[in-house]
Amino acid sequence: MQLRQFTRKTTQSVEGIMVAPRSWDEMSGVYPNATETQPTLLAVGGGKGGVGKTLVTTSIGIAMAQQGKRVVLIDLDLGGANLHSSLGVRDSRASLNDLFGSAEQLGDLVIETGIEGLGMVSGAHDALNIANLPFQQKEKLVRHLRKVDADYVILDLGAGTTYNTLDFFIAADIGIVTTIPEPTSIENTYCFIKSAFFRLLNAPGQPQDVRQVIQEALLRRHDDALSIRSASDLVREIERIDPVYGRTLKIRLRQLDLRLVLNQVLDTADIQLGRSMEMVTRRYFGLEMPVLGCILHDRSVQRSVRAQRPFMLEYPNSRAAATFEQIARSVMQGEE
Amino acid sequence: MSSNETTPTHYELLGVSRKASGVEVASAYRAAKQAWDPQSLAVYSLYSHNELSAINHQLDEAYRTLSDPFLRARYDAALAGQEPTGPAAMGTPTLSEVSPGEEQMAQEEAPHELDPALLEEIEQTDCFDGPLLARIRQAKGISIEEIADRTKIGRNHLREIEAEQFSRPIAAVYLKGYLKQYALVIGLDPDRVLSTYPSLQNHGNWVG
Repeated sequence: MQLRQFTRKTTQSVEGIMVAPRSWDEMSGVYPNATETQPTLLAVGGGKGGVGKTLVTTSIGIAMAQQGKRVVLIDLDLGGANLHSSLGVRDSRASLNDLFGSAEQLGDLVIETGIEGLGMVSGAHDALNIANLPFQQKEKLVRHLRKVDADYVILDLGAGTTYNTLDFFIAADIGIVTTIPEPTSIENTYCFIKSAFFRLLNAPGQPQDVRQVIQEALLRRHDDALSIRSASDLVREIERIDPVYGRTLKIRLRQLDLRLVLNQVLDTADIQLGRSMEMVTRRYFGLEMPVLGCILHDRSVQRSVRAQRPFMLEYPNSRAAATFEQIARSVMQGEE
Repeated sequence: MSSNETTPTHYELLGVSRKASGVEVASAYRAAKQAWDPQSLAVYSLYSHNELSAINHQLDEAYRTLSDPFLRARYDAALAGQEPTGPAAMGTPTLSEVSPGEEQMAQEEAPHELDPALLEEIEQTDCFDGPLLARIRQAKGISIEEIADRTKIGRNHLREIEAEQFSRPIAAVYLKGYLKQYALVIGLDPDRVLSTYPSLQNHGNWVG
């Protein structure tokens, strides 16, 4: 099998995740002394369904594989898996569900996609209740993500803000937020970032007064009488109440290494929207979310979905394909 | 939480460094106004109407200060010495806070407050024609002679730019250079001016 012929990278920094708080360390199985070669984890999420998360996952994966990287895509749209259909993969002998049964390693579930350098873990034929993955199984899955023999592992997440989806997103080295220039999508995107933000803030072990401030902020609606108007205001307030815990939180928030992909872009105003979202996210959340790329709206995408053929292979000369190649290069350059 | 703990500096508001040029400040201001426009998708669902109004007011104040060399220098000085002070030091210093010598200089050099209607027009317009440029210059209390001194562009050229009537054809490349410098002196984003100045639209190598 092609994937087994891969040679491991010699070294890979894990500094970005060594700062994780203890509970996350335990969940991700990453410790400061870890020296094993590990893949870079990318998670493609965004809150809303139908914005192109699977398209982004497959296209970046294919672009990276075409540029010589060993890539494994994992369908973590638990309960709504369809990554295999996007890639036209009908081999469903192994699926993610087997990790909680007969399979010893996640790597054992990697199947070929027919594209050199690209494998996938399918979610086809998963158990109907897999969306409600118990904590221990989630813990095992996240731990195994780091053991997959590849340069890049790309997680295709489902819509919504369930704890499972948020935890996979947080566990990744880079979180690619995918959205389209429509109010509902933008609203869900910010809701997704906010949920991930509070998921990190709400880790166990908070001092009582800090917990109270966080709970008040969670319940907050638009109320001009409150001094806490944004997520970054909240962190500042926590820092004021408890400087030591505030610093810990800031370090924890660095785990959210966000990038934005704006899909179905129609004109220059939409491209400007990406830059505006970057500015607003910096001010509101205190987080950087640089724009990885803007994908032009292209009817060919629908045609490739219907044909169950990857867009990157069906329309390799399209402008959208060129943007995906550029996005892949950008991610790889940032990691090297 | 006291207000000054969460009040970003004008530079932070616009997302520019303290060494940012006038062009960078103007460009950042324009981008920020687009981002926090109440109709902008980028702020959808995050802010209330009142919060957006407050942010836009902060952006206007930041730009008003940083786009004016004199006010900016005063603001930088206030920032440098304001570590333990309150919000007053973060804003534009008032005349009551300066020494008599500085007061005279301020009276001589302080630009005129722009009419809010003109500010709105500057933000919204998609056509920086000559007459509008002249109105902005006059509203800021900047004379043709002052621009000529600072840019080394002839007074006649400057008047022709404002009138958009050229006594003889001028190479578009020169006109663009003049306009860019003119825009910088009166605190406008040169890119916006160049891209909307009527005589430069659909022109050949020569204008006029």
